[in-house]
Parts: sequence; structure tokens; C-alpha cells
Amino acid sequence: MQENGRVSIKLDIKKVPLDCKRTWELISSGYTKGVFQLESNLGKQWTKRLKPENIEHLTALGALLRPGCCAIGTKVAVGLINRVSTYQRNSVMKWLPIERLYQQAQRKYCLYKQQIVSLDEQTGLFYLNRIDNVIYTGNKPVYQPIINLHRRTVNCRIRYNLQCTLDHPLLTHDRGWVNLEDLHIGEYIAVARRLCNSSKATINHAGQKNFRNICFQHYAYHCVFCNWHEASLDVNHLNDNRQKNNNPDNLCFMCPNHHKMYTEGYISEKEVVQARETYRLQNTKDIQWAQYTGIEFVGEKETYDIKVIGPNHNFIANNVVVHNCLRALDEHGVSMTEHYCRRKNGEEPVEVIHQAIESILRPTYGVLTYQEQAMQIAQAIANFNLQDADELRKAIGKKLPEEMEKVRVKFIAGCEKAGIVTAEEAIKIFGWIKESQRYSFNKSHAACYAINGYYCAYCKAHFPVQTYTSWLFHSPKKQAKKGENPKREVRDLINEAKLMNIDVLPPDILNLKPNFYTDGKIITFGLTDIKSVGHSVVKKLHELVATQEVKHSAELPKWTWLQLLTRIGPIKQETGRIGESALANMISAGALRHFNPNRSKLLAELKAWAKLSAGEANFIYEQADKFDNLINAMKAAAPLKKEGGACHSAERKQVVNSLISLLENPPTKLEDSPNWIAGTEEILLGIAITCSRIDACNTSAINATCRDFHDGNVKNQGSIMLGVELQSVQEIKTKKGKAPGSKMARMTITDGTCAIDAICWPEQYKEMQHLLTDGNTVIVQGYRDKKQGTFVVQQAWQAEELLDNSSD
Amino acid sequence: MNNCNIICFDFETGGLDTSKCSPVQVAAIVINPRTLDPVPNAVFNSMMCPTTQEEFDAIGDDALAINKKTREQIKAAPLENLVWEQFTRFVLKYKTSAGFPIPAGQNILGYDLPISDRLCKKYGPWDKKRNQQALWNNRDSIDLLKYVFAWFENSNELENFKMDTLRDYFGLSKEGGHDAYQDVQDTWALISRFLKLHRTLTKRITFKGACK
Repeated sequence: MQENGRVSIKLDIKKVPLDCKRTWELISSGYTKGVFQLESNLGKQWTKRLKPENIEHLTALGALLRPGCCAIGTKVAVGLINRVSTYQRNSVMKWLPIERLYQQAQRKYCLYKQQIVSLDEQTGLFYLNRIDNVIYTGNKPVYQPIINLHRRTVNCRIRYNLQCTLDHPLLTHDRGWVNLEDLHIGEYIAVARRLCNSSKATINHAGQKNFRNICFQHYAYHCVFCNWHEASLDVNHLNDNRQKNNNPDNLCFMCPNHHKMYTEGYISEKEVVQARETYRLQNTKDIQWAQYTGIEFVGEKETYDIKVIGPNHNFIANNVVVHNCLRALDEHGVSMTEHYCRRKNGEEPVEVIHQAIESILRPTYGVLTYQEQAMQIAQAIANFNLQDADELRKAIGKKLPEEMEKVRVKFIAGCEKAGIVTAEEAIKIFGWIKESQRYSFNKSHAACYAINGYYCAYCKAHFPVQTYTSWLFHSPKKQAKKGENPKREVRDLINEAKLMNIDVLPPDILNLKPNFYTDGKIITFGLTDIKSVGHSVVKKLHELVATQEVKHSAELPKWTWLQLLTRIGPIKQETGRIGESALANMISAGALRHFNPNRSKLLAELKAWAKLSAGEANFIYEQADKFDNLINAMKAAAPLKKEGGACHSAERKQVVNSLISLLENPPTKLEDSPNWIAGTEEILLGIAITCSRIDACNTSAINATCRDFHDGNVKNQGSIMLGVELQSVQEIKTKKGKAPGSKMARMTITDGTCAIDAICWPEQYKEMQHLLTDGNTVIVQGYRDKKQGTFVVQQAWQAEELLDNSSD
Repeated sequence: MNNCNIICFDFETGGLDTSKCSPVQVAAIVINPRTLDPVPNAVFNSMMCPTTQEEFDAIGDDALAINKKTREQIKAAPLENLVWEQFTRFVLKYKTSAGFPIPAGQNILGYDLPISDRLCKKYGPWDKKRNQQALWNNRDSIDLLKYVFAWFENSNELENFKMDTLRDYFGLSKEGGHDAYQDVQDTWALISRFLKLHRTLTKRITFKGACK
């Protein structure tokens, strides 16, 4: 069934088997673009690492891989490496949008040049930290926490415009790192001090009314005695009144009852000061504590995350201190996800802390992954009933220290009574459960995600052409709306489609389809997928073609190039025709290849046609059927009107003759070089479809293609010679090895068959740096890296251009 | 490291005044910046006719004697504005992400680039914001005259730095001289030698810290 050029498929989800081998192979290959929850680089990386074989594996991966992310547009505090070594607020710090950091990480810009501001959790001060990686985590629902710095009234409120996912941890005053979804109303969150209000907050504005804000910023909004935190809570001065002393030490929150007791002498000042200390917020010169008062759903947005170097894995996003989320680490700094992968793949022995809970942890290879497992453990060894187990789950989920303490006592008592484990073992197991609260997730939720992801992968595995067509249809538009480059998305999708042996063709004016479409086997660009060709142009084209087909009783495929040009091409002072630039872009993208494969020639004739006056153009239009090419038609139009031509003056005659001369003897060869075709298609379509830049070069020395390498069909594995175009080159610094800090390169190389990843180590990169630049065409010699499977470049030579490189 | 394409070009004109003279021929070749070899088939060569009769009449006979063009040939040539449009399209085709093409030639700083600027202002492309041409790389250019001066300023071997003298001295054939296309090829033959010489010497000389 065809709908708007797309083939739609009816699929009964209930009949989709969960053990489809093809689907699991697809997921394990890392081709997870478009697969729910696994689309990001993180998802690709871990599916390749884990190689899931069933829904259990995918569920566990989804549960462990729970990075909270920041939405596109989030401003991250970064520092400049050449400035002073200690962090100085507002002098070296600048705010960079997170997507720009990601773009810098993707391009040649070295992350080592950029430092990020992190919070030292011990001292409460900021310092400049190193970025390990910036990760794109896909399209997710994002929320905005409402964080108030001032007294809880609308007029005084300052909002911190952080937008992130629900599982993004924020630093709380009492409970440490807590996910956004688990925050309590009224809880205090760490925020960076702002110069505009922090200075006012510390100055004693004697006689001023902002003592309420000063108190709010230094103490939790509670009565110091009774935990009262309603609106009637007021600020009280202990000694001097507001006219004399508004310092924080002279202020405190008290409810009306306790304030009355204080003024009447039932409560001493010493008692107030002592009680007040419990509620003092640990402000430092760099951070203060703002109150969390609610959450707003913003919508679905592109999200990113930043991985920073330890020991403090955090950064400042829109003035809020946030964690970089990859927190499921053991004491050696190895993540639980890595442990799971190693144990599943047999790289590490499966260790369980106690035999009694072996059966509970066996499905997850001894890694405590789900909250349900913690509940089962408590039931098994501490004789918890369902209610107790649920309280344990709540305490884990909400990270309440008092609740955890209660449960801990109950747990250890239960273990002692049950006698299955010793007291020491019980303490150890509970400590382990407590640690898991940082990352564990509930299985039911993770399973839903995994099933959805599996269905996406199933569609992709069994109906790849339709899936990619659908993605190409929808995804670039979303990118464009968010200000991202939609052509990059097209390039990435088509690169992946090629790896799955799906052919993609350039747009075709004969089909007049506006968007990406498929016949079930091949994907074809639509006309609006050409840069600067919009829906209005395509609509106009439809109307023009329909009118002209009726007028001339001939369908579009039967027209000649001259007829097409005169019937729909631009004519001065006439609206309702296709503009010159839109038609030029269509020609350059290959949409008119059926009329003449030589795009340069068509472009030259279009430019000449556009120079004709309305009278001259209409003269040719009316007689177009008499001529076989534009040159002859223009020769007929060149004489003056009185001589039977179309020119109204001698000057116009000279212009038309010049145009004819330029077409007959063009100053430059009107031939399409592969270089030009590839470059133009990259600009107009996002990716070179017809040919690659390397096609213009002498590749007699190569012994394989990128496709051969990808498929493992290379004969001489030790010395593989490829002729490639360097699609992207990213210069990075090494962290380990003989000389940490040396420059190396990570590249994407292509030769038209497919795109593969390649690396060049520092020793070789030093010699070949001048060749390894974006867009350059080189012959490379190297081998396959056994671990990662990437192409390691050992030598490179500049590819020489062929003398006769005109396209076929 | 330079990754901008290099375009060696030359005008033949009807006079010596760069602010007024009309070009009668323009030719260009494109050079790969890494190999310093001409890009195959990337050549532009066209005669051009001034757009007004005044400009046509201002073409000097002495100029025509040098570049061996006739008034009939010029009259039959395409109009200046149309050829210029095609020339700019040709040049901008070789603009890359590294930047605009670098202009190269013999005495382009003193002669050809001012003419190019004038034509850019008249017909485009012109950057109105910066009030400058938007065709060539603004920062870099390769002028053979400057290279020759740098190497021979302390020598009496060269009588002058005219193209014919250089042809004689370096052993290039004078045949076809003062045809823009031939001039461009000969100019680049010399420039490429100088640039390759520089590249060889650069590897042997330590510049860093030379003034410490």
C-alpha cells in the first residue's frame, strides 16, 4: 500500500517472536540507529560490547545504562586552559551550549583544550576538570525542575533553567546525589553562586528588607524547633533588630509559636543557635543551596551527557550542579555495566556475595541490577514479608537516610533471626544493597523499554528499507527544527543503510515525489530533500507539469531537456515558474539525470536561459518543439524582431550572441568530475550518492574496498591498501601508552562502498598529519585492530588525480 | 598548513591603467595545494569584449600589439559581464571548507588583483559589509614577482623581473607569450618550483626559537 510515496507495512506486534536471531544479531552489531533507548553512541557502544541474545540481557542493559542527560541548549560552565590555574568565577569561566561541546568533540577540536568546571564535593569549591567525552544520548522527554533561590514567592523567585531527564542526579544538601524524579518538594539543591545576587546576599543590608532572602540562602526553610515550613514561617532577629544587623548569624526561621516562646523567654538564645545549626546550609564561596519546589514537563528534546574525569564526576549546567551520570562504579572504578558484560561474555568469573542469594542474582550474572532483586534478597535471607520488602524498595528508590536506617536495622535483625547468613555477612549484603541504590532500576520499567527497543530492532531487521525510509523522512526535519544540521543526520542514516546493503538513489524529477520514498527495495531522495528546494517549489512543479502535460499532450518522461527548460524554467517577470536557484540545485543533485547525465552542461544552459529576456524566452518556448537543443533555439531568437528573431535591440542581439558563443565554446570544460559531483551532493543532499571523490584518483595500488574490510573479505589482512576520502578527522590526545598526551586521529573514511572507522596512532600521525585532513583523498595502508575491529592506518599517501576523470 | 585550492590566473588587457583598462582575455588553472600540480581539466580561458562602445574604443593599439589580439576578435568575443560571471562561478567552485581559493600569478598584487577587485565591485561577488571582493582568499596570495625578488634582490643576474626575461632566464619557451593561458602555465611552472624549493628547505631549517 503506497501512501505519499511510502510503502507501509502492517505488523501484528503480538505475533513478533522475541527470539528472532536476525534481530539479536542486528542489536549486537551496534546498528542501533532508530532503536528505542539504544540509538545514542552509548547504546551502540554497549550493545556491541554486551552482544545481547535475549530480552533479559536487553532489560539488564537498559536498567544499568541509565544515564540522565541534559537537553539541547543547556549551558555548561567551561574554563580556559591558558588562564589562571585556579577557578575564578566570571573571569575565566564561560558558558558553552552542550551541543557545541558535542560538536567540538566530533570535529577536530581537541577536548583536552577545553576544561570543564566541576565541584569538589569535599571542599565545596569549583575547580577546572578534564572532559573525557561528550555523548549524544538521543531524543528523550525532558523536565525542568523549579528551583528557587529566594523566599518562596513568585516575585522573588529566580529560576534555574536546567532541562534534563528524570533520572539525572542533582546534588542535594542532605541526601547527596538524587535523581530528579526522586527529589522532595522543599529539598535543597546545589547551585552555583551568581554574582548578581550572591554579593547582595552576603552584604549586611542593615535597614533593608532583604533579610528574608539572606536567611533563606543560609538556612533551610524550616522552623528550627518544629519542622514547620508553611508560608507563615518568618525570619526572626535574635539580638539586634533589622535596622541594625541583618547578618545571617542574627537570623533564623521560627514558626509563630516558637517565636512567641522565644520572645517570652521560654527558649534561650543559645538553644536557638544550637537548633539552627541543624538547618544551616553548607554554602561556600562557589555554591549555595536553592530550594526545589516542583517540576515541569518540557517536551521531547535532543539530549547529551558529559563524562568528566574523576574523582568528582560532576559539572555545572545552567548554574545547577549536576552529575555526569555514569555512576555505577565499583571500588576499582569499573562500572556495573562493564562487570555485567564481562560476566555474560565469560571474561570474568561470576561471583555472588553469598550462596543463599545465588539463585536471585544468577539471571544477572551476580550483578545486583534491579530493585526487585534487593526485595527478593531481603525476603530470602531476612524473612521480610512483602510489605517490608516494599519499604526497602521505597527506601532504595527515594534514598531517604532515615528510612534506610530503619530498614537496615530490620534487615540485620531479620538475618540474625533467620540464621541463613552471619551478622557480618548481613551487614556486607545490606551495604551492597545500599550501594546499588545509586544505579539500580526497577525491572518492570526496564523490561518495557527493552521490549519497545526489540520491536524497533525487529522492524529494522526484517523491513530495513521501510525503516530507513521512515527515519530519513522524519528525523532530519526534527533536527532542522532544533537548529541542528539535518544533512548530518541524513549522512549517518545512509551510511548505516549502505552497510545493510540498501541502495540509495539521488532525487528524480520524473517521480515528482517531495520526500524520501521507497519501492520496497531502493530508497530514493525526494525533491524537498535537496537543499533550498522547499515544498512550495515542488507544489509549483506539480502544477506546472500537469498544465504543460495537458497543453502539449505529452507526459513528463517524454519531454526533451529543451522542452523541460522552456516549459518550467524561469522566465523574467513571470511568476508561477520554477526559480533558477531551485532548478540549479535540482540539476546539481542529479534530479534531471534522465534528461542529460552531464550536470555541468545542463547548468550552463540553465544560466544562459535565465539571462534571456521574457520576449526572447517566450519566442523559444513557443517554438521549442522545432529545435533539438538550446543553442539552435537561441540562434533562431538572436536576430532582431524585424529580421524574424526575438531581440528588440542591437544590444540584446549582442548579449544573445555572447550567450551562444559561451555555450558553443565554453571557457571551461563542461564535464562533471567525480570530485565536483561528490562535493556538490554532499552540500545539497548531505552525502555523496553518485560517486566518491576517490573515484577521480589513481587507485591502482589498492587491494580492497571499505566494504571488503567491513565484511572481512580482505585477502592480505596484514597489509590492507584502501583508496579513501577522509569524511571526518578528529584529533584527540592519548591518555595512556608510551607518551600520554600525544596527538592521534580518529577518522571516518569512505570510498563510496561504505564508511568505516579508522584510527592513526601518535607515531604515524606525526608523519602523516598534513595528509589526514577533512575531505582529503588518500591511499592508506594498514591493518584491522583485533579488539575494536577498526582500521589502523600505518601509512598514507596523497591520491593522485587521474588526467581524464570525467564521469561516465 | 594550507589546504585552500590555488588558482593561477592572468588578464590580458587593452591598457595599463588598472582603474580603467578593459580586460580582453582571462585565463586560469587550478592547483592542488598538497601536490602543487594542476588539477586535470580545471582550466578557464576566454576572450571578452567590453560591454560599452566607449570601453571598446579605449583599447590601445599598443596593447593589442603586445597581446596579439585584433579588434575583430575582441568584438566577436562574449561580453565582459557574461564571461566574468562564468569566471567567478569557476573560481567559487573551488572554494572549500578550508577557505576561498588563493590567487596566484605574475605581479597579481600590482596588476591583476586590482582589476579583479574592480570587476567584482562592478559585477560581483562583492562583500558589502566589509566593502571588499568576495572571490579570492583575503589573506593569502602567491605572486611570482615577490618570490623572484626575494631570491634575486641581492643578485645582478636578472635584468628585470618581466615575464619574458624570466622565460629567457629559466629556459622557458617564449612561444605563445602574452596569451593569458600560456602566461598562466608558464607562471605556474616557475611558482611551483619555488614552492617545492621552500617545502624542501623548510624540513631542514629550524625556525622555532630562532630569535632567542
